[in-house]
Amino acid sequence: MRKITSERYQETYYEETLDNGLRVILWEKKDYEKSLFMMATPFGAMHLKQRKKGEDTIHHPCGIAHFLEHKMFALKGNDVMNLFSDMGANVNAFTSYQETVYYASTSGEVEDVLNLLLDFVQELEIDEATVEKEKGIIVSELHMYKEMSDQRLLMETYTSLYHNHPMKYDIGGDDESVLKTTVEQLYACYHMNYHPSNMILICVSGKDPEKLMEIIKANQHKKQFPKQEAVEQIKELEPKEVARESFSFTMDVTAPKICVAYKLSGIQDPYERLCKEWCIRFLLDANFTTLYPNYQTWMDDGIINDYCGCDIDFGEDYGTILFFAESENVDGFIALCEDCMKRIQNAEIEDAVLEQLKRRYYAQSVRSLNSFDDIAISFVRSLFHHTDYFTTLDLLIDITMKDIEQATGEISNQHRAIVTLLPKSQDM
Amino acid sequence: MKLENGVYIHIQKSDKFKDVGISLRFMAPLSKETATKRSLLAMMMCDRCKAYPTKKAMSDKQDYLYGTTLQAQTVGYGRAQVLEIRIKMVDPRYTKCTTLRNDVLDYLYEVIFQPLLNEEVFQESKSILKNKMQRMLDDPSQYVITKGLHMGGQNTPLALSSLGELTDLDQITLSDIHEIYEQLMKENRIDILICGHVDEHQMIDLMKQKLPFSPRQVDYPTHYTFASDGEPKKIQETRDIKQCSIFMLWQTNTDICDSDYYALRVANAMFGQYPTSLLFQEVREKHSLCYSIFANLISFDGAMGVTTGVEKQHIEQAMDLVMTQFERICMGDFDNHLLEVSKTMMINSLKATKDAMNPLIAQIYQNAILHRPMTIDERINAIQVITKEDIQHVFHKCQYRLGFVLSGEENK
Repeated sequence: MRKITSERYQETYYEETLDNGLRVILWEKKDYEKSLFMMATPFGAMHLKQRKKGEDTIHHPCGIAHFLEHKMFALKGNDVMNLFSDMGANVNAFTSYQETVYYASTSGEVEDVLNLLLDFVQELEIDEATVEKEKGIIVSELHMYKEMSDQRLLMETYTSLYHNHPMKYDIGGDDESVLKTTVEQLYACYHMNYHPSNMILICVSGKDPEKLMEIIKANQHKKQFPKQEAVEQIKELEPKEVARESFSFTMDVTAPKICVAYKLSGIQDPYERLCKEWCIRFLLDANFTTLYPNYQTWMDDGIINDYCGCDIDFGEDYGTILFFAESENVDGFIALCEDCMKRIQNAEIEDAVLEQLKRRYYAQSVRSLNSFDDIAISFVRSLFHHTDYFTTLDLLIDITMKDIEQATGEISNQHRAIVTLLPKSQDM
Repeated sequence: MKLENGVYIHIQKSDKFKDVGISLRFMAPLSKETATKRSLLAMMMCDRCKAYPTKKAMSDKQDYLYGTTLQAQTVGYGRAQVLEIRIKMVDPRYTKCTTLRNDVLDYLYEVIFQPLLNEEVFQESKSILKNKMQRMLDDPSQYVITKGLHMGGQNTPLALSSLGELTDLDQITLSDIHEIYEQLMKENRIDILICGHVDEHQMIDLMKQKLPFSPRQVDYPTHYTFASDGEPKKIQETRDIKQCSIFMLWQTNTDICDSDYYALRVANAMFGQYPTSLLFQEVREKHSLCYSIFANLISFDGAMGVTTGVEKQHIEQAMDLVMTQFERICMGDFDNHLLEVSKTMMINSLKATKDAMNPLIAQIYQNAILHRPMTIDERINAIQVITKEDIQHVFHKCQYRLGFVLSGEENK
């Protein structure tokens, strides 16, 4: 086990890659009652085309990562949730565009809980009947999200942005893709993406790391895994232009909501990506939050209310800046976003504002280390992106005006999509 | 510990956390006349203050204080409404700033003692609160709970939302807010709860110096058990939605201070708190009718609610199934395993309370207002001794009061 300590954050973790390829991280949280164990695979809703070396490309139906997540919760005829509950532990999972994550937590004994997490994630047991039964539950989950206006606005925004990129689909797919998913497809998907050499296990715990490692190794020694060839993700060719420049839909809400989205290119290098994301986040904060002097005027003029925000997200093969608000003045809001984008392109931010934002986000990083979930998930993501976790936390401390000016190059060639959600009564 | 008459301070020293949290809780009776005003005041107080009279000045100051966060909210505790102002700062040992703690307390003084309660902030906060309430009503799953409690808890504090009511908001004037603020500063019970890497004595001295609250006479009742008359209500409303939302309400007839309260907690856990519960197992797992289903206690009001979302054609079946599970617990038609598992889950989550600041603070506050210093270990013991008979008995006392269904429109 390699021990890594950060003096700045006063945190320590241990890491080791096991013989079967599983990467294990043991994050030490002394004096805590609780333990969190998380297993993750870098397979999410956007990985719809994959190829093993020397084999044909497999096309997965959309939403399959999420479907698989649902079906993982069975082990030797038992419901995994019940098995964890029997131990007084909680288990949960989520699927994002980038990854699928399973996690269990307990404040009681850890050995059985840790073993069960490893066992259920490393075995898939499905048949025709159980897969059919799950379809109803998933469809009902998808419908639930569709009723939530914020979720729906975001989904429609991605659909507006992309022609081919899988982010145009909802993470869970749609009714049709769920209903036609088969047992064979789920198995194929599982075998490609749940091999130990693809996965990470991270434990955030007050328990002795040596003991935890013993439990993990004993568990893995009992299992055999076939040799796994590397899996290649096949990316779709995505035009720079958006799929729908303007789109509106109605729901039973009181006030209109709007999302103004700018489509950017992705950034390959992970450190460059994170650095530029910080730079643009600082610019957005300086120009589109309470830090911007005119923000109050926008509120006074009724163009925005407290439901207003912006976000930046870069991946390897996508980039988006989103502005969203609840507003009766849709055109007024679009004009604000356009002005803001111009200021951002000109790298408009004062030195003092940059310094205060660095203070804010540094403290936020420190405080995120209170949260077991935050540590585990951001560590997992950092590893999947081949970056060093503490280095990524430090990144923002050294950002200069020059970095910010460079980052604005990413938004010189953006394309815009506007999505509006209108109250039902207005169109009747 | 008492700082002044009616002003108390509670310090939980801990080296675990990366931040220091200070929660100030102002307690007054929950009433229709004041609930909305207090909710509005909470918003105004954390929006601006005289020393930092713009949103930008507030943000600048908070950034300067290393991203110190300031939040305000109103929460119901039975017959009482608590206006909470919470400030969290990064533990000064992670910064180079030696005056951070004092600077944060100076800022907190400005926020609480020198608020900017003028027409401009008033109008803006009013419209923001209005939007916030409207958004909650727009969300079907939140709407059924708010409206369900409103109808089921008629003439009791349960019917009142601690956020306030949309219909009361328009009539409020700025002078109402001034009046409510005066009451807050002179008549409310105040609890100051502090958690983090701090020196107890130093902190008490600092608080006396930085937050000079006046003494006051206070004794506000909180917990009670709500009761309503007549047959259980059945209410159905429609809206243009695909999935239906259901809320069901019981009066528990068990007070949070009663000896069988922990039996009720365990019974509720078995009924619908965890994935092992009867509701989750029967309605979701066996019949695939819903994605989520929960039973919750509203402990200070003696109420229990069940919430779920189902497709329209399954409403009757789902509600029948919920009732059947309720009956099963009353009749003792469950195995010992469910009882034991539910206890273990509850005990583990109580243990985890020690690991997170907000639950820890909530726990200390609950003890303070119930005048009983019940430790986490004592709570664990209270859960461990619960028997099957205790469970049946406490659920027998529960009475079903209301079913509220929000469904899609007939012709769609």
